[in-house]
Amino acid sequence: MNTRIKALRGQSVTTAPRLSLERALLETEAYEMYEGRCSVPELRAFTLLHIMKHKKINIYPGELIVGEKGDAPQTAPTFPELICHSLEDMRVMDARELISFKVAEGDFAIQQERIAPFWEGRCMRKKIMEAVSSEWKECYAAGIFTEFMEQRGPGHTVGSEIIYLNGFLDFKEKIKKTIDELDYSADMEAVAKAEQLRAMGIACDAVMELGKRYAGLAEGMAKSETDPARAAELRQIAENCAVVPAHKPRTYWQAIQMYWFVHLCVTMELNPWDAYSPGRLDQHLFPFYEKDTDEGRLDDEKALELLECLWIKFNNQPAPPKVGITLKESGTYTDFANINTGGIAPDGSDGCNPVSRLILDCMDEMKLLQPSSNVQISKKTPRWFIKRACEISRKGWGQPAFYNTEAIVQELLVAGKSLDDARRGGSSGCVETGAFGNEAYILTGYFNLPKILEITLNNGFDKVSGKQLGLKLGKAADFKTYDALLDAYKKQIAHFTDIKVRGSNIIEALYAKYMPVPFLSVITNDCIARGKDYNAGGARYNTSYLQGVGIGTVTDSLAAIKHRVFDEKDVSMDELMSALERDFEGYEELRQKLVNDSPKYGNDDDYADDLMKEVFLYYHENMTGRPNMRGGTYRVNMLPTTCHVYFGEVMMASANGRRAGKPVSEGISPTQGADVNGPTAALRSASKLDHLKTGGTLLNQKFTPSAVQGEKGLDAMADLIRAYFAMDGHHIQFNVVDRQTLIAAQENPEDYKDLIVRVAGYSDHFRNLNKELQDEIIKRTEQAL
Amino acid sequence: MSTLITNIQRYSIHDGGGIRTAVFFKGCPLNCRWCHNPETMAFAAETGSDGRTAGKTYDVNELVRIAMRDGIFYNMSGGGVTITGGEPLAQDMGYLVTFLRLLKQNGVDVACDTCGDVPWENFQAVLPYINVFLYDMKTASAELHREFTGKGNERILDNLKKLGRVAKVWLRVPVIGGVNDGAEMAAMIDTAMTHAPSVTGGAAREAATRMVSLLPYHATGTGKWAEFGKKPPCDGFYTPSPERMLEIKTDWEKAGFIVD
Repeated sequence: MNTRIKALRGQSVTTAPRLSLERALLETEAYEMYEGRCSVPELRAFTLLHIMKHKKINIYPGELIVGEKGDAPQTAPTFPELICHSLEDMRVMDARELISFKVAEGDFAIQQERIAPFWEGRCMRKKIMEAVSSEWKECYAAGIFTEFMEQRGPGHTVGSEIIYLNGFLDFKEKIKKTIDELDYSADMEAVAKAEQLRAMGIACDAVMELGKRYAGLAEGMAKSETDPARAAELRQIAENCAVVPAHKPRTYWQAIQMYWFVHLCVTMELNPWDAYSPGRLDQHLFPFYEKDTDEGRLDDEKALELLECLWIKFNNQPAPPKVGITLKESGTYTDFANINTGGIAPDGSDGCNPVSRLILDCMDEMKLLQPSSNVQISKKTPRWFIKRACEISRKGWGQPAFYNTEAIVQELLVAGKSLDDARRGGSSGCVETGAFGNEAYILTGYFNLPKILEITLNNGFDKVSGKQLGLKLGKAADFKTYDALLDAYKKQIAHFTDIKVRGSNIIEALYAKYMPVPFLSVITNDCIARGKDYNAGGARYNTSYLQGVGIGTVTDSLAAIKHRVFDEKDVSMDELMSALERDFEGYEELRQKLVNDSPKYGNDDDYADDLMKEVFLYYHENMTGRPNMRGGTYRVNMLPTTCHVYFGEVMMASANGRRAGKPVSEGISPTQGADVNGPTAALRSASKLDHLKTGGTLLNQKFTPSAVQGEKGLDAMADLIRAYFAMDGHHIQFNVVDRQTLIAAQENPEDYKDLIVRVAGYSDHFRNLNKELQDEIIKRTEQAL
Repeated sequence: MSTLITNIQRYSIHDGGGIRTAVFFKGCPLNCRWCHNPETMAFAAETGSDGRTAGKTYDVNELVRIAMRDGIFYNMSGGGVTITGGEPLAQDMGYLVTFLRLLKQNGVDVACDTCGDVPWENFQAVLPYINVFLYDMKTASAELHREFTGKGNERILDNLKKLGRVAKVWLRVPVIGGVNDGAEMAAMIDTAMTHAPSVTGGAAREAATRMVSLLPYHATGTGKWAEFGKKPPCDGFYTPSPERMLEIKTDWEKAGFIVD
């Protein structure tokens, strides 16, 4: 890492995140000017243009890639059109111990006098809460499911190569041509399409405005710069910004700057959860790298430095502040821009290239939480690549995560994508499969599988919220066989997914109507041609996901009931129910039996694993294929972010011996501490879930450093991954840190400021995690030798 | 005699190539005072102080099924099954050979970790099924060997010589501070040179026969001694320093061995 990067990185990691009301103020001004005077899509586009015209811009010392979302690094804009924070919200954000955002003294007054009066009555959160049913609200409050769009916009698009092949003048030209060709004599939607398309044109102006302003700023700074080397850099930045984003990039440096302008506009236009990601960055940059290198403009040192500048830009942008349940399900600064490296090229050949290697070096040197870097491993991936990736991963901080290219491609094909689009796809957010640049794959929320078993055992009644949320299908003792219990559980799953889907359809429709994203639509394939917004089904593919959480907990609970109550009959259902009711107080012997003497998922034991398969299959069959509001369908994936902790909080004790309020299992990982037969057994169990039917699964493995030590350890790690992927596993990630270190870090956080661990589909500073999550990670099974 | 197994360890990466499943057989003809698996020393089943029983019988087909569960990991890594113990070649040979034959039918690579102190016929019985022998050499001197393992090493060295002519052998040398980490090591290298197998059997065998693993002593087994009601070894064994380990490694390399 050179001194420039060291300084920029230092600034990025030491600056405390703070709130910025600049965007909210500019947005309010724009709405006052344009609302009611133009269509909603144009209103949104004019708002983006207004922001880009007037936001503060800066170029910081040493920067080679320019642009910040807020007014400085580590500032987070707010999105009052989605959620209008109360003063209490802001006080909490400012004061809370974890994931805090400093609020400037004067901002409370601005929020109270200027922002809140305008947005309180019209933000999306209010519209959503007014539109959804009371049963939806009760289930939401009880933690049966969460809602992704409650204070964030529909997200999850990943960039494709088109922004390196087109400038925004080219996009504008395409838009204009499409408008000219609208058929007002036969197309009933022509007027609406014209509004959308005009908005897209304005959105192009917005990004070009930002580029123009940066070109001007850089040129001005170059003139007054006394250091000739820096002056030359500033002149180059000015030149870059005069080319991109209006025109397509001509050099490697410009290509990176192009991406960054696009990223800023996507994430300033609305707050899509999971930000935005360049996707297959190594493949997109490679043609520029090759040309610049051939022509003597670029060497590897410079190419790496520019990547590192981009990495710092990602890390400078904390995810906009969350509150309430949304904070609980995603308690992190990470904004989930997840970059894929490796995998295959669109023609199906190995996709690793020299830029892939540089990205791995960049990851290794930067060791930053953002972007969430991963690697795709295909059958064709060379040994050097997977071993280099393992070498970084075993350093312990969870990056890169590993994804299975063949699984991703098959998952996409199963979901109806073309082979060409599938090969260009990958994983984003945490582990979610998508056809990059062609798909709006919108996650709707997490779904609490173990909680629904709890409700099933209580005749549909939720003892925690005190409400009859589920169907009345009988008390626990009424189920005379395991099959009768399972049948009731399935009916309750169907009941709650029905409620969830009805709500999600309403929310999708509200976003289509009030929150179009014309800028994102420009760069998502087919939106222009269809004259339709990204949030309204304009993309080539439109999928909605419901993410199952707690499969390990629910499997172990079912296995314990089946084994102890129905097979061995040494525990009666009544006894079990009173133990659960009393959180095992006075039932420690029974609890030990459930914990230590009942089959557990994660041990390659078919007794438990078969139950897992059946629950998953039912969950999948019940959801997959349901129509959404955007012309696509629902599908499932299996991941938690930090939601497994929240979902555990709203639960009583469970039949696997888990105490009330404790986290449920995360992703498709076995229950913390339940997998005792080593990593190969855990991977075998996890592979029994039919990954190819999902849109992504998440598997955590924790290793002691000694288990992956030396050349042998490295080879074994690479082979474990290969074998898991040969069994169609979708994703695996590692924590390589011993228990003692984690406990010490919990006791003395000051001494372990730099300790980064893998949480779910992302890494975070251990000190940024709440106690429950820290405990959960400590409890995860440690695979030793 | 029923064959007892104390442990089936999956994801074993230090007992042969690749990812392996190690099957620990119970009972050993030697009585090494530094043994880190004391629960595998006696042939009969024992109960540890925590109530766990060491030693379980398996139907041979069941054992094969368990060993085959990680087949895909063997394929990906060039791994397989390692029979170890205790002493795998001091068991009911009918049972063992059936197990090995079934593994071979399933295409599994098998390594055999042996102390060598068994009748030569036992080696002959398993030869067709074993890809590599991990062959322990503890001391060169018969007296030292008797002192620390309860038996001399004449048969061990004799078997080593014979085995090297017909099979791949990979020496394993436990480096026990206070026993063989000094001058004895030089004698062991000499013995290895004379007893370790000739190099006339082709390139593959040459590579294999010149392999040695050096395993520094760790006191990790001592807790287990007490657990099984045995008097822990108070012989002042210690872990050789990393510097000394490096010197020993260099000496073996000078003698033409590839040190793992």
